[in-house]
Amino acid sequence: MSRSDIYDAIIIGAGPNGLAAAVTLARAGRSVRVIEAAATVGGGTRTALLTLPGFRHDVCSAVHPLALSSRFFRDLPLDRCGLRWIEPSLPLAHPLDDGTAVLLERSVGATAAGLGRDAAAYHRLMGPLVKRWAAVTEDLLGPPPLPPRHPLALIRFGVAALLPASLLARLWFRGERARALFAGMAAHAILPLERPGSAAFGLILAMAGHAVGWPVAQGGSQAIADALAAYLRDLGGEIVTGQPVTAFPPGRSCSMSARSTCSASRAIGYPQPTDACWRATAMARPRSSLTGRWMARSRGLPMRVAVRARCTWAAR
Amino acid sequence: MHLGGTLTEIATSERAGWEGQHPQQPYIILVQPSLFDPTRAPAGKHTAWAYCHVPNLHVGQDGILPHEMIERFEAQVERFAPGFKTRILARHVMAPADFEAYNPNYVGGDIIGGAQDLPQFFARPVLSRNPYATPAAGIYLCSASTPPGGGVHGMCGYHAAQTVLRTRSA
Repeated sequence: MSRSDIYDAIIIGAGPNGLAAAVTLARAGRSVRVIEAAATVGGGTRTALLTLPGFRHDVCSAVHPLALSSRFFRDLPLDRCGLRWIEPSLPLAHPLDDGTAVLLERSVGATAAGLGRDAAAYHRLMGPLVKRWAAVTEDLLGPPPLPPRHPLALIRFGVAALLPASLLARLWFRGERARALFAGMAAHAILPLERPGSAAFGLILAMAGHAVGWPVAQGGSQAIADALAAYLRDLGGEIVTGQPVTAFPPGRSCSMSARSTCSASRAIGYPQPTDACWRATAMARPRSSLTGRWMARSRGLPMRVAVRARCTWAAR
Repeated sequence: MHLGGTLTEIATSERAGWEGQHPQQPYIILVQPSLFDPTRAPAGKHTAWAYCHVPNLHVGQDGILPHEMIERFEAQVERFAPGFKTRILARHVMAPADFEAYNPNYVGGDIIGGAQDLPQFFARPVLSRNPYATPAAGIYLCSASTPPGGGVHGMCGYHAAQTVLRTRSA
C-alpha cells in the first residue's frame, strides 16, 4: 500500500479514465501515483499477442471516435508520446443480404447519396447536428448539463436523441437501408432499440463519423494508454503496476477509484451489492444525520448491466 | 463493419441479450485494423476483431454454451463474408466471465460500467450534485460508472480530477 501522505492523489486503475484523472491533476501541479493491479497499464485500451506470434489484437476497445472528440485528449501532446491516429477513408460499411452495403462516409452528402429516397431526410437530420458537434459534445461529455452551455444545440440533439432508436428510424426514414444504417450505430448503446434514449448513440456515432472520423490507433489501442502513461511520467507522475488494491490508503490524500462502484466497495471490505447499484452506505459510515439522509436517498437506483462476447482472429 | 442486416434483425438481437437470451443471429461489430495498420499482423496476413452483446453473467443465462455462441457468431460473419471461416488461422474468444476475470471493472462482462439508459444520464451512478464524489471524505470515483460513461474519451477521469482541484487545496 502507498504512503498516501507523500502524494496529493492516489489513483487506482491505469485505464484511460484513471490515467486521464492522473494527467489532469499532474498538469495542475499535483503529485500523483497511479496503482494498477495488472502487469501493464491499459484497462480497456490494451493490445496483446492473443493468437499467433506477430498478430496484435485489441483486447477490449478498438475504434476511437470519442477520443478525437474529447476536450481532454485534444489538449494533450500525445503525438510526442508515440500516439498516431490512422483514419480509414470510410468509417463504416453495413452490408445487406442483397450483396450491397450501406456506407457511412465522412461527408453527410456522400452518405445521403447512398440512401436513395432517404437522402433528403438524412441531410435534414444530420446536417444541422454535425455543424453543432463541438457544442453538443461539450455538453454531453461530462456531468449532466444543467444548465447546458449550448442550449439550442442540445435541444436540437435531444429532441431526436430521447426517442427509442427504432422509433426514430421508422419515423424519419422510409427505406430499409437508412433504417439499418441507423440501427447499427444505435446498437452501440448496448440497450434494446425500443428504449427511450437509444437513438442518442446512433446520432452521436454518425455525428462523430462525419465530424472527426472513426480512427484506430497505430499499433493498437494500447498505444493510447502507453502515450498517456509516458506523458504522465513526463509530468512527474508515478505509475506502479502489478499491485492490486484491497483497501483505500488512509491519510489526507484523495484516492480516485477508476474501478466500478461494485469493485470499489469490495476494495474497502464492504459487501458487494447484489445488483449493480451504488449503495452509499457500503462506502462509509454516516457521519451526521445529514449524511445519513443523503445516503438513504441515493439507495436503490439500479444500473442494469450489459455485456459483450468478443472474438478476435488471425487470418490469412 | 456492422453485421446485422435490417433494423428488425438488429433490434431482435439487442433485445435478446437484454432479456437474458443469447441471440440466434447476433448483431456483430467488426473491425479489420490490419487493412489500415500494417503493424497489426505479418505481411500478407490480417487480424479481425469483433463483438456482440450477450446476457450479463449475473442476469441469467439460457444455457447456451460458449462454443454454440461462437458458431452463431462466425455464421453471421460468414453470411456477409463468404469464405471467412476458411481463412481463419487462429481465434481468441472472451465471454462475459472472461471479461470479468480480465478486468474487475467489467462486472458480469459489462464493459461500460453500467447501462447507459435515460435515467443514468441524469443519475450516474446515483442522483447527486457531484457524481464523482462519494460519501467517504477524500475518495472519488473516476470510472465509466460516472458521467459521461463508457468509451475511450478520458472525460470521466478529467471531470473527477476537476472536482478534486475545485474542492481540495494542494
